[in-house]
Amino acid sequence: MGTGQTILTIVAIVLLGTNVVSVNRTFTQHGIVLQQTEIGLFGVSLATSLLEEARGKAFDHYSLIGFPTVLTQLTPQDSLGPEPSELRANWDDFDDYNNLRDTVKVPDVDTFYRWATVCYVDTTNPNILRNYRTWMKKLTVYVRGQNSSDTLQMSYLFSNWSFR
Amino acid sequence: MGTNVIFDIITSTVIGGMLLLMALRLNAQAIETNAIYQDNLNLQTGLVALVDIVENDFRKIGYCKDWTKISPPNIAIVYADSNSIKFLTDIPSSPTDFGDGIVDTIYYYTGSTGGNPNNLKEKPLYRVVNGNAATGWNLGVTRFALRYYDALNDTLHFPITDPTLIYELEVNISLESPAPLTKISYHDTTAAKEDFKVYWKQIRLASRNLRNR
Repeated sequence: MGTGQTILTIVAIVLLGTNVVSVNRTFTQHGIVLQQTEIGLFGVSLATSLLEEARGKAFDHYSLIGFPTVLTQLTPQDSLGPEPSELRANWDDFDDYNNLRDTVKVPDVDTFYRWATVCYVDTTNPNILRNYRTWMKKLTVYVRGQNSSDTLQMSYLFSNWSFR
Repeated sequence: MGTNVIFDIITSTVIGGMLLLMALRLNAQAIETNAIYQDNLNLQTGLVALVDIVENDFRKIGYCKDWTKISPPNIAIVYADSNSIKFLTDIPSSPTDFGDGIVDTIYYYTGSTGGNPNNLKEKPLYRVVNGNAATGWNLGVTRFALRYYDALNDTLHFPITDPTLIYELEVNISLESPAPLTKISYHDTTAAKEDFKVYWKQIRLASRNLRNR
Protein backbone atom coordinates (compact mmCIF):
# COMPACT_ATOMS: atom_id res chain seq x y z
CA MET A 1 0.00 0.00 0.00
CA GLY A 2 1.42 3.34 -1.02
CA THR A 3 1.62 6.47 1.12
CA GLY A 4 -1.38 8.02 -0.65
CA GLN A 5 -3.54 4.97 -0.01
CA THR A 6 -2.45 4.91 3.63
CA ILE A 7 -3.43 8.54 4.08
CA LEU A 8 -6.77 7.93 2.38
CA THR A 9 -7.42 4.95 4.64
CA ILE A 10 -6.57 6.95 7.76
CA VAL A 11 -8.82 9.82 6.64
CA ALA A 12 -11.67 7.38 5.95
CA ILE A 13 -11.31 5.75 9.36
CA VAL A 14 -11.19 9.14 11.09
CA LEU A 15 -14.31 10.26 9.21
CA LEU A 16 -16.14 7.08 10.09
CA GLY A 17 -15.05 7.29 13.71
CA THR A 18 -16.20 10.89 13.96
CA ASN A 19 -19.52 9.93 12.46
CA VAL A 20 -20.00 7.05 14.90
CA VAL A 21 -19.12 9.23 17.89
CA SER A 22 -21.44 11.96 16.67
CA VAL A 23 -24.37 9.58 16.23
CA ASN A 24 -23.70 8.07 19.64
CA ARG A 25 -23.56 11.50 21.26
CA THR A 26 -26.84 12.53 19.62
CA PHE A 27 -28.65 9.48 20.92
CA THR A 28 -27.17 9.82 24.37
CA GLN A 29 -28.34 13.42 24.54
CA HIS A 30 -31.76 12.37 23.27
CA GLY A 31 -31.91 9.76 26.02
CA ILE A 32 -30.89 12.25 28.69
CA VAL A 33 -33.59 14.70 27.59
CA LEU A 34 -36.22 11.97 27.75
CA GLN A 35 -34.96 10.89 31.14
CA GLN A 36 -35.17 14.46 32.41
CA THR A 37 -38.75 14.84 31.16
CA GLU A 38 -39.72 11.54 32.78
CA ILE A 39 -38.15 12.67 36.05
CA GLY A 40 -39.99 15.97 35.62
CA LEU A 41 -43.31 14.15 35.23
CA PHE A 42 -42.79 12.29 38.48
CA GLY A 43 -41.59 15.44 40.16
CA VAL A 44 -44.78 17.27 39.18
CA SER A 45 -46.84 14.30 40.36
CA LEU A 46 -45.10 14.27 43.74
CA ALA A 47 -45.32 18.03 44.18
CA THR A 48 -49.01 18.26 43.29
CA SER A 49 -49.76 15.29 45.52
CA LEU A 50 -48.35 17.18 48.47
CA LEU A 51 -50.18 20.37 47.52
CA GLU A 52 -53.45 18.48 47.16
CA GLU A 53 -52.90 16.77 50.47
CA ALA A 54 -52.14 20.05 52.22
CA ARG A 55 -55.07 21.95 50.79
CA GLY A 56 -57.40 19.31 52.17
CA LYS A 57 -56.44 20.41 55.68
CA ALA A 58 -57.71 23.26 57.82
CA PHE A 59 -56.29 26.75 57.29
CA ASP A 60 -54.90 26.90 60.79
CA HIS A 61 -54.85 24.84 63.95
CA TYR A 62 -57.45 27.22 65.36
CA SER A 63 -59.76 26.49 62.39
CA LEU A 64 -60.24 23.00 63.77
CA ILE A 65 -62.11 24.33 66.75
CA GLY A 66 -63.61 27.51 65.35
CA PHE A 67 -63.49 30.12 62.63
CA PRO A 68 -60.67 32.58 63.30
CA THR A 69 -61.79 36.18 63.12
CA VAL A 70 -58.73 37.99 64.48
CA LEU A 71 -55.14 37.46 63.42
CA THR A 72 -53.91 36.75 66.92
CA GLN A 73 -55.92 33.53 66.90
CA LEU A 74 -53.64 32.16 64.16
CA THR A 75 -50.41 30.26 64.69
CA PRO A 76 -47.52 32.69 65.21
CA GLN A 77 -45.14 32.90 62.28
CA ASP A 78 -42.31 31.37 64.30
CA SER A 79 -44.41 28.35 65.23
CA LEU A 80 -45.52 27.30 61.75
CA GLY A 81 -45.11 23.55 61.50
CA PRO A 82 -46.56 20.46 63.11
CA GLU A 83 -47.58 20.74 66.72
CA PRO A 84 -45.26 19.00 69.20
CA SER A 85 -45.74 15.22 69.21
CA GLU A 86 -47.95 15.43 66.11
CA LEU A 87 -47.10 12.65 63.66
CA ARG A 88 -47.10 12.99 59.89
CA ALA A 89 -50.24 10.88 59.56
CA ASN A 90 -52.06 13.15 61.96
CA TRP A 91 -51.22 16.49 60.42
CA ASP A 92 -54.43 18.44 60.42
CA ASP A 93 -53.70 21.95 59.29
CA PHE A 94 -52.03 23.65 56.35
CA ASP A 95 -48.95 24.99 58.11
CA ASP A 96 -48.01 21.54 59.45
CA TYR A 97 -46.19 21.12 56.15
CA ASN A 98 -43.64 23.76 57.06
CA ASN A 99 -40.13 22.28 57.00
CA LEU A 100 -41.36 18.95 55.70
CA ARG A 101 -38.58 16.79 54.29
CA ASP A 102 -38.99 13.36 52.78
CA THR A 103 -37.49 11.06 50.17
CA VAL A 104 -39.49 9.13 47.63
CA LYS A 105 -37.93 6.30 45.66
CA VAL A 106 -39.52 5.54 42.30
CA PRO A 107 -38.21 2.25 40.93
CA ASP A 108 -36.51 2.49 37.50
CA VAL A 109 -36.75 6.27 37.54
CA ASP A 110 -35.02 8.15 40.34
CA THR A 111 -34.87 8.98 44.00
CA PHE A 112 -36.69 12.21 44.77
CA TYR A 113 -35.99 14.60 47.60
CA ARG A 114 -38.99 16.66 48.58
CA TRP A 115 -39.15 19.56 50.96
CA ALA A 116 -41.66 22.28 51.72
CA THR A 117 -42.05 25.61 53.44
CA VAL A 118 -45.13 27.45 54.66
CA CYS A 119 -45.18 31.14 55.43
CA TYR A 120 -47.55 34.06 55.74
CA VAL A 121 -47.74 36.29 52.69
CA ASP A 122 -49.11 39.70 51.90
CA THR A 123 -52.81 39.41 51.05
CA THR A 124 -52.58 41.91 48.23
CA ASN A 125 -49.32 40.60 46.80
CA PRO A 126 -48.71 36.93 47.60
CA ASN A 127 -45.14 37.14 46.33
CA ILE A 128 -44.19 39.20 49.36
CA LEU A 129 -43.44 37.10 52.45
CA ARG A 130 -44.51 38.55 55.80
CA ASN A 131 -42.95 37.80 59.14
CA TYR A 132 -46.22 38.49 60.87
CA ARG A 133 -49.62 36.81 60.71
CA THR A 134 -51.88 37.46 57.71
CA TRP A 135 -55.02 35.82 56.30
CA MET A 136 -53.02 34.07 53.61
CA LYS A 137 -50.48 31.29 53.80
CA LYS A 138 -48.23 30.11 51.03
CA LEU A 139 -46.99 26.57 50.73
CA THR A 140 -43.99 26.07 48.48
CA VAL A 141 -42.97 22.54 47.56
CA TYR A 142 -39.58 21.71 46.14
CA VAL A 143 -38.78 18.42 44.43
CA ARG A 144 -35.38 17.38 43.21
CA GLY A 145 -34.49 14.08 41.63
CA GLN A 146 -31.09 12.62 42.33
CA ASN A 147 -30.37 12.68 38.59
CA SER A 148 -32.35 15.72 37.63
CA SER A 149 -30.69 18.86 36.42
CA ASP A 150 -32.98 21.25 38.22
CA THR A 151 -35.25 21.63 41.23
CA LEU A 152 -38.96 21.75 40.66
CA GLN A 153 -40.86 24.36 42.64
CA MET A 154 -44.63 24.65 43.01
CA SER A 155 -46.64 26.92 45.28
CA TYR A 156 -50.15 27.08 46.58
CA LEU A 157 -51.91 29.93 48.34
CA PHE A 158 -54.43 29.19 51.05
CA SER A 159 -56.71 31.89 52.39
CA ASN A 160 -58.93 31.83 55.39
CA TRP A 161 -62.46 31.37 54.11
CA SER A 162 -65.66 29.65 55.03
CA PHE A 163 -68.39 28.11 52.97
CA ARG A 164 -71.90 29.29 53.75
CA MET B 1 -0.48 -8.93 -10.63
CA GLY B 2 1.92 -9.67 -7.87
CA THR B 3 1.21 -11.47 -4.64
CA ASN B 4 1.30 -8.20 -2.74
CA VAL B 5 -1.38 -6.66 -4.90
CA ILE B 6 -3.65 -9.67 -4.45
CA PHE B 7 -3.00 -9.59 -0.71
CA ASP B 8 -3.85 -5.87 -0.64
CA ILE B 9 -7.11 -6.45 -2.50
CA ILE B 10 -8.13 -9.26 -0.15
CA THR B 11 -7.20 -7.24 2.93
CA SER B 12 -9.04 -4.13 1.73
CA THR B 13 -12.09 -6.22 0.84
CA VAL B 14 -12.15 -7.71 4.33
CA ILE B 15 -11.68 -4.33 6.01
CA GLY B 16 -14.24 -2.76 3.68
CA GLY B 17 -16.70 -5.53 4.52
CA MET B 18 -16.14 -5.02 8.22
CA LEU B 19 -16.69 -1.29 7.88
CA LEU B 20 -19.83 -1.92 5.87
CA LEU B 21 -21.13 -4.28 8.56
CA MET B 22 -20.34 -1.69 11.20
CA ALA B 23 -22.18 0.96 9.24
CA LEU B 24 -25.19 -1.30 8.81
CA ARG B 25 -25.17 -2.18 12.49
CA LEU B 26 -24.92 1.49 13.39
CA ASN B 27 -27.84 2.26 11.13
CA ALA B 28 -29.93 -0.55 12.62
CA GLN B 29 -29.09 0.59 16.14
CA ALA B 30 -29.98 4.16 15.26
CA ILE B 31 -33.36 3.10 13.89
CA GLU B 32 -34.12 0.97 16.95
CA THR B 33 -33.01 3.66 19.37
CA ASN B 34 -35.08 6.21 17.56
CA ALA B 35 -38.13 3.95 17.76
CA ILE B 36 -37.62 3.42 21.48
CA TYR B 37 -37.21 7.12 22.17
CA GLN B 38 -40.22 7.95 20.05
CA ASP B 39 -42.23 5.35 21.92
CA ASN B 40 -41.15 6.78 25.25
CA LEU B 41 -41.96 10.30 24.08
CA ASN B 42 -45.40 9.18 22.88
CA LEU B 43 -46.04 7.60 26.27
CA GLN B 44 -45.03 10.70 28.17
CA THR B 45 -47.08 12.94 25.89
CA GLY B 46 -50.06 10.62 26.19
CA LEU B 47 -49.78 10.54 29.97
CA VAL B 48 -49.61 14.31 30.22
CA ALA B 49 -52.63 14.72 27.93
CA LEU B 50 -54.61 12.13 29.85
CA VAL B 51 -53.72 13.44 33.29
CA ASP B 52 -54.57 16.96 32.15
CA ILE B 53 -58.12 15.92 31.30
CA VAL B 54 -58.62 13.63 34.30
CA GLU B 55 -57.20 16.13 36.76
CA ASN B 56 -59.30 18.94 35.34
CA ASP B 57 -62.47 16.85 35.63
CA PHE B 58 -61.68 15.53 39.10
CA ARG B 59 -60.83 18.94 40.46
CA LYS B 60 -64.33 20.09 39.58
CA ILE B 61 -66.16 17.20 41.18
CA GLY B 62 -69.20 18.72 42.86
CA TYR B 63 -68.78 22.12 41.25
CA CYS B 64 -71.80 23.85 39.74
CA LYS B 65 -72.17 27.47 38.77
CA ASP B 66 -75.52 27.35 40.53
CA TRP B 67 -74.26 25.83 43.76
CA THR B 68 -77.73 24.99 45.04
CA LYS B 69 -78.02 22.26 42.41
CA ILE B 70 -75.34 20.08 44.01
CA SER B 71 -76.10 20.56 47.63
CA PRO B 72 -74.84 19.23 49.94
CA PRO B 73 -71.62 18.72 47.92
CA ASN B 74 -70.98 15.24 49.24
CA ILE B 75 -73.69 13.91 46.90
CA ALA B 76 -71.36 14.74 44.01
CA ILE B 77 -69.91 11.24 43.69
CA VAL B 78 -72.67 9.00 42.45
CA TYR B 79 -70.74 5.79 42.00
CA ALA B 80 -67.21 4.81 42.98
CA ASP B 81 -65.28 1.66 42.25
CA SER B 82 -61.64 0.67 42.00
CA ASN B 83 -61.41 1.50 38.29
CA SER B 84 -64.50 3.54 37.57
CA ILE B 85 -66.18 6.62 38.96
CA LYS B 86 -69.31 8.60 38.18
CA PHE B 87 -69.72 12.10 39.53
CA LEU B 88 -71.69 15.31 39.18
CA THR B 89 -70.07 18.44 37.86
CA ASP B 90 -70.76 21.43 35.65
CA ILE B 91 -69.24 21.43 32.19
CA PRO B 92 -69.17 24.92 30.68
CA SER B 93 -71.00 25.48 27.42
CA SER B 94 -68.26 27.79 26.18
CA PRO B 95 -64.54 27.56 26.98
CA THR B 96 -64.50 31.05 28.46
CA ASP B 97 -67.26 30.28 30.94
CA PHE B 98 -66.89 28.59 34.34
CA GLY B 99 -70.06 26.56 33.87
CA ASP B 100 -73.60 26.85 32.62
CA GLY B 101 -75.40 26.10 35.88
CA ILE B 102 -76.70 22.78 34.56
CA VAL B 103 -75.58 19.65 36.41
CA ASP B 104 -73.65 17.22 34.22
CA THR B 105 -72.57 13.67 34.91
CA ILE B 106 -69.15 12.31 34.00
CA TYR B 107 -68.46 8.61 34.11
CA TYR B 108 -64.91 7.24 33.80
CA TYR B 109 -64.33 3.54 33.32
CA THR B 110 -61.86 1.20 31.67
CA GLY B 111 -62.72 -1.18 28.86
CA SER B 112 -61.60 -4.74 28.47
CA THR B 113 -58.06 -5.84 27.73
CA GLY B 114 -56.93 -7.80 24.69
CA GLY B 115 -57.38 -5.12 22.04
CA ASN B 116 -53.66 -5.03 21.40
CA PRO B 117 -52.09 -8.47 20.83
CA ASN B 118 -48.60 -7.04 21.52
CA ASN B 119 -49.54 -5.79 24.96
CA LEU B 120 -52.39 -7.73 26.51
CA LYS B 121 -52.53 -5.46 29.56
CA GLU B 122 -53.57 -2.45 27.52
CA LYS B 123 -57.17 -1.28 27.80
CA PRO B 124 -59.10 1.77 26.64
CA LEU B 125 -60.18 4.43 29.11
CA TYR B 126 -63.65 5.81 28.53
CA ARG B 127 -65.19 9.12 29.52
CA VAL B 128 -68.95 9.33 29.23
CA VAL B 129 -70.69 12.67 29.62
CA ASN B 130 -74.40 12.69 30.50
CA GLY B 131 -74.86 9.14 29.30
CA ASN B 132 -73.88 9.99 25.73
CA ALA B 133 -71.66 7.81 23.55
CA ALA B 134 -68.43 6.85 25.29
CA THR B 135 -65.33 8.76 24.27
CA GLY B 136 -62.40 6.44 24.62
CA TRP B 137 -58.65 6.96 24.63
CA ASN B 138 -56.35 4.19 23.66
CA LEU B 139 -53.09 5.69 24.81
CA GLY B 140 -51.73 2.50 26.30
CA VAL B 141 -53.48 2.68 29.65
CA THR B 142 -52.78 -0.47 31.62
CA ARG B 143 -53.95 0.77 34.98
CA PHE B 144 -56.55 3.25 36.08
CA ALA B 145 -56.86 2.61 39.78
CA LEU B 146 -58.77 4.70 42.27
CA ARG B 147 -58.71 4.64 46.05
CA TYR B 148 -61.02 6.56 48.30
CA TYR B 149 -60.64 7.98 51.78
CA ASP B 150 -63.19 9.30 54.23
CA ALA B 151 -62.96 12.47 56.30
CA LEU B 152 -60.93 10.66 58.95
CA ASN B 153 -58.35 9.67 56.33
CA ASP B 154 -59.34 6.01 56.48
CA THR B 155 -59.45 3.93 53.32
CA LEU B 156 -62.93 3.07 52.12
CA HIS B 157 -63.15 -0.56 51.11
CA PHE B 158 -64.88 -1.89 48.03
CA PRO B 159 -67.69 -2.14 47.24
CA ILE B 160 -68.44 1.40 48.33
CA THR B 161 -72.12 1.40 49.19
CA ASP B 162 -72.21 4.99 50.38
CA PRO B 163 -70.19 7.31 48.08
CA THR B 164 -71.20 10.31 50.19
CA LEU B 165 -68.50 9.26 52.66
CA ILE B 166 -65.75 9.97 50.14
CA TYR B 167 -63.64 12.91 51.18
CA GLU B 168 -60.45 12.39 49.24
CA LEU B 169 -59.36 10.14 46.44
CA GLU B 170 -56.16 8.83 44.95
CA VAL B 171 -55.64 8.32 41.24
CA ASN B 172 -53.08 5.92 39.79
CA ILE B 173 -52.59 5.83 36.06
CA SER B 174 -50.07 3.66 34.23
CA LEU B 175 -49.31 3.72 30.55
CA GLU B 176 -47.24 1.17 28.69
CA SER B 177 -45.77 1.08 25.22
CA PRO B 178 -47.88 -0.71 22.61
CA ALA B 179 -45.13 -3.25 21.99
CA PRO B 180 -42.18 -4.54 24.04
CA LEU B 181 -38.84 -2.91 23.37
CA THR B 182 -35.34 -3.24 24.72
CA LYS B 183 -34.68 -0.72 27.43
CA ILE B 184 -31.51 1.13 26.66
CA SER B 185 -29.47 4.13 27.64
CA TYR B 186 -30.31 5.10 31.20
CA HIS B 187 -32.10 1.83 31.78
CA ASP B 188 -30.39 -1.54 31.95
CA THR B 189 -28.62 -2.07 28.64
CA THR B 190 -28.68 -5.82 29.01
CA ALA B 191 -32.38 -6.04 29.81
CA ALA B 192 -34.62 -8.26 27.78
CA LYS B 193 -37.41 -6.73 25.76
CA GLU B 194 -40.19 -5.48 27.94
CA ASP B 195 -42.92 -2.90 27.96
CA PHE B 196 -41.91 0.67 28.53
CA LYS B 197 -43.89 2.06 31.39
CA VAL B 198 -44.67 5.50 32.70
CA TYR B 199 -47.08 6.17 35.48
CA TRP B 200 -48.73 8.92 37.38
CA LYS B 201 -49.74 8.78 40.98
CA GLN B 202 -51.85 11.64 42.17
CA ILE B 203 -52.15 11.10 45.86
CA ARG B 204 -55.14 12.33 47.74
CA LEU B 205 -56.61 14.62 45.18
CA ALA B 206 -58.99 16.40 47.48
CA SER B 207 -61.54 18.20 45.41
CA ARG B 208 -62.26 21.56 46.95
CA ASN B 209 -65.97 20.98 46.51
CA LEU B 210 -65.83 17.71 48.40
CA ARG B 211 -64.60 19.59 51.45
CA ASN B 212 -67.52 21.99 51.56
CA ARG B 213 -69.73 20.37 54.11
